[in-house]
Amino acid sequence: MSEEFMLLPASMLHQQSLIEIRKCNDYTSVYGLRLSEPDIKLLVENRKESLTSNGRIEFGGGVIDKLIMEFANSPYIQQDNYVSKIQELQETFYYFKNETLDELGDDEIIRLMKQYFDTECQGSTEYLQSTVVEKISRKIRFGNIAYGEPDVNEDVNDDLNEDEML
Amino acid sequence: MNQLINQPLIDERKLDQGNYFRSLLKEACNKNILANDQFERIQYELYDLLAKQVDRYTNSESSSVRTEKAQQIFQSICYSIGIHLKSVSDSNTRIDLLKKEKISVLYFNGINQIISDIAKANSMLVNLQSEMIKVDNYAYDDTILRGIPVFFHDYDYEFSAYDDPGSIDYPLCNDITKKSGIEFISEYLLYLTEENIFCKKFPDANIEKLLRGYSDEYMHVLVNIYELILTNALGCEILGKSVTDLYLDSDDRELLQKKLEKLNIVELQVVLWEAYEKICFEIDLEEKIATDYVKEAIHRLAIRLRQNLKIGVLENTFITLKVEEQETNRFYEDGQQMEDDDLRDIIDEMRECRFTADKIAILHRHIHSLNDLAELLEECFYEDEFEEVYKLLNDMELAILWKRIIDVQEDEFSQDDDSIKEWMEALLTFIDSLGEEKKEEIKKQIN
Repeated sequence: MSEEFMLLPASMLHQQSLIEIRKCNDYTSVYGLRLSEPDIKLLVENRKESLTSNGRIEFGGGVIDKLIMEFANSPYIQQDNYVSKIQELQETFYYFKNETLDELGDDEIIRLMKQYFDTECQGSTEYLQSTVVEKISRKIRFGNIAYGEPDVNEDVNDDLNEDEML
Repeated sequence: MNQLINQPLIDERKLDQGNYFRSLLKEACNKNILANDQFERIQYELYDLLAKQVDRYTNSESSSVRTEKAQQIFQSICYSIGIHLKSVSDSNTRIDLLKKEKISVLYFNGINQIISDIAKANSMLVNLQSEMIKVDNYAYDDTILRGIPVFFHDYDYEFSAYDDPGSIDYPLCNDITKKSGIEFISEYLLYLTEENIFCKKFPDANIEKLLRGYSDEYMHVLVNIYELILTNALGCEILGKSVTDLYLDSDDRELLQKKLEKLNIVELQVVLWEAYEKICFEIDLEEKIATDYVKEAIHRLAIRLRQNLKIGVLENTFITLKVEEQETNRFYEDGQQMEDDDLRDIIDEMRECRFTADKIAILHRHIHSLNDLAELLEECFYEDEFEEVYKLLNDMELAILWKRIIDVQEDEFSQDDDSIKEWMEALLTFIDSLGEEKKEEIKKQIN
């Protein structure tokens, strides 16, 4: 841990996640999705790595539970790819937060991800990150939704909530 | 026995004043004054507080933030706790607080202290702005009129309490840069105010000549005016000359060389300190600057003086005043008048200003003609604000404006109530307030 946080107990930084994720199984089992204890620990460990690689820090349980609840009904997620997809979505989420300069709230980011994941991206997180996230981030950074992008996907323009725009 | 009980558990000199809370905690742990379970409790409470503050920062819209942002917020929390701890009288009580009090309580007490300190500092700034020395030094004027106000506008005591925004270019006599945030600004304003009180005991004209003697470019140099005045005043006092004149020439420097060259640094400090006390009595300085502050200034002067005495060069220590051949006015009567449109823009800009200090800053930046000044006085200033402007003017400028009033009064075609404007009445009142002797001096400039 860096010097600045030497006073903080490292264990607290991910303890709550385990609790929050376990609760999600009650909901996701309806869609045939379930996480085992090793899966949960793997996701929490992955969360720590994603946060570190994206230069972020998170309090409370994090967003894994929100991602799970939002993506559980996706046609592109089944039990055999459940854990890996959640890991990838988590990584994409933190990347998205950075690229949009923290201008969008968690719920808005997750909503956008789900929308494009299920449609344009056809379940590909790679496509989601390299195309959709890039386009939206560019607009956020330039603060102008119609800023000089001749190949702008019209849906991308419409879906950004007006309140979230700079 | 009582002495043992009251012995401080921690040597305060070892603590980092800029990072007080963390260094106190570290020292307390190192000396086993804080038990492991107490330290753990503090850790958990800090984590909890940080989580809450991050949640506030993001308006509960984000569960994560960039690490740098979390670090800033954490640093701000530690700073605020440090502020509260430092407000407590002794270090043993501070340790007690760490052991027994909740971190959130220490934090919010710190925030309240900071809020109170902001109000006090703001009040100091307002007083300072109304008591500025009338010298044409950009760093001095800009720092007080613009640089420091930015601090109060931008200071974020909740998430960046350790930060000190604003542009504080004017150097104090002594260095206080180890402090930060509101502590820095409070101390800066305190010492600047005290320096000002000292400086205002000396005639403005002599201060300006001293600055000009220091550098022809004195308007743009970064120099502490108090230090220059103090040094020359000490030289004058040592030689038994008039202190307020500040006048020292090459003959005087020779005398000072002979008088002081055999003294070591400690002896020099004693001589300088005794001279300082006499100066305070002579200029009737009731509110003396904090002793430690002056002692530090004199200590540094003694070191510098010792070096210069060794090589026999005192020109840069004791400065010869310089009179400019032609007195230049801040506002030139025949100077560059603005175009009507430009002047109209300035008037509009000034009318939007809430504070007199902002209006005066605009005058400094844009106005070089007394005609323009008169126009602005009529359009943009009211009541107590006139005095703030008149304080900026030298005797010649006051005389020229006074002459205009006399011309209006004597003009048989303008003998009605509207011909004497509010600014004119305020100017006459201001000149009266300067005393008979000063009034006569100004009057002589008219004739």
